[in-house]
Amino acid sequence: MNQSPLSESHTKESLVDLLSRVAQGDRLAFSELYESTHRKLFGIVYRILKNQAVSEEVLQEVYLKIWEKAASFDASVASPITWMATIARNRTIDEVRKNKLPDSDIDVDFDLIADDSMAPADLFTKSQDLLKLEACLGDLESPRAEMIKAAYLDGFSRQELAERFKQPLGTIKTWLHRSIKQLQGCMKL
Amino acid sequence: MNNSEETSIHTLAAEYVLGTLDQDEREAVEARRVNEPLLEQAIVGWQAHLAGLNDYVQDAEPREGLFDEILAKLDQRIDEKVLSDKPVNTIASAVVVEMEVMRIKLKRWRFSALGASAIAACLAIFMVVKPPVAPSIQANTPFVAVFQADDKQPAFIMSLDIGTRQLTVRPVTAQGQTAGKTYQLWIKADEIGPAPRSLGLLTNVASPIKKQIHYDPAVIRHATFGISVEPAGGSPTGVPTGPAIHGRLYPTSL
Repeated sequence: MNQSPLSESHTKESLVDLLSRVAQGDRLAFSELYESTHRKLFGIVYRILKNQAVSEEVLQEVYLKIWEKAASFDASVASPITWMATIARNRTIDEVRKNKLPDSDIDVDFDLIADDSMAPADLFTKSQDLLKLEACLGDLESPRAEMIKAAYLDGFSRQELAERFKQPLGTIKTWLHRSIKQLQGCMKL
Repeated sequence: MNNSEETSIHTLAAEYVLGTLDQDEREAVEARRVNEPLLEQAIVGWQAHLAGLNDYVQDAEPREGLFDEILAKLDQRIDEKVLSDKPVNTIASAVVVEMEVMRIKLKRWRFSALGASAIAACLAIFMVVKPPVAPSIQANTPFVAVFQADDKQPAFIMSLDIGTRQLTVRPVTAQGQTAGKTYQLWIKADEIGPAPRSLGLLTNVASPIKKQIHYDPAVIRHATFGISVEPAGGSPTGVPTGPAIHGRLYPTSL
């Protein structure tokens, strides 16, 4: 699996430093930031949009937004990669909810998408929070953990989740709400 | 707040972060989070707690040269901004040194007669908000904005103490308005809404004017500020009606 080298070449601290330089209008820092994060962010965007050209357009906007918003990054609130991934996901979800996208480049393989054996290899971000989240997801009644992952990772709407899990829309809404409540309790949010 | 309200805020925040809301619902959440700290806090919490799932995503490679295209778009946006700010600003990359040069020039310009009507006719504003160098020192970094009239003569300089959220507007070449007219200060930011919001009148420009503002520091840093010429008593419509100059804040330490 091709995972980003964040853990090897860039510590969290150095990403914080790069972002603060980007906030000053430092293009060299912006270039370094792109180099060290774009594969990860493009992976997030592409997995949801499943179309290379559209994903590339969205990625451009994501980095322009990172440039514009770098000043508002607050290391006490979020890690730099979480902050950037949030920008990427928000922009991407907006894209899928707003537009009817061109056909996917690939046939979606649902079995692969929900495959838990595709374990995270990016140990850099595998924090206590993730370990706890995995434990809490594990407590959910099957297949609700898969539903949560399909929503987050693949950007599925409730309707798409209903089709994917062969359930009425109302059931999906109930699953979502109950899963959220259970996760909230489990993670003490 | 009772438990069911708290649960519904968390459910909404979590669904927003998961991405399962439809577009209308998403837009409603984005509008609400600006004014609802509990919702904002819940969203940030869910973002942090679900972010680990991104580790399941396989890296992917966009086309080569994409970053150059991003830089080209960046230049294009800056050009557009400069063109829209008449007259053309040459200190878009304002740094302290340039600020000092400007202050020296200001002394020279201070006595040049620039009537209020001239300012009104050709105000162009210019402000750049620069973010704090690092989160740890952002609290007390002073920010400065320059509001320029034509021919690059600053009409006002504004400084911001981000810690106390106090703005100080110092008239430079700007002169008192004629009877029946006044200057009015505005703030505009996406987080606040589509229309500029008044920060009050600048009635006496003979001396520095202090304004306390209550918006979030992060919003203030990104905001565009404006000074417009309005009828005495302020804009009758709640939005700027007269000629305006605009600016954003720069940090004074880099």
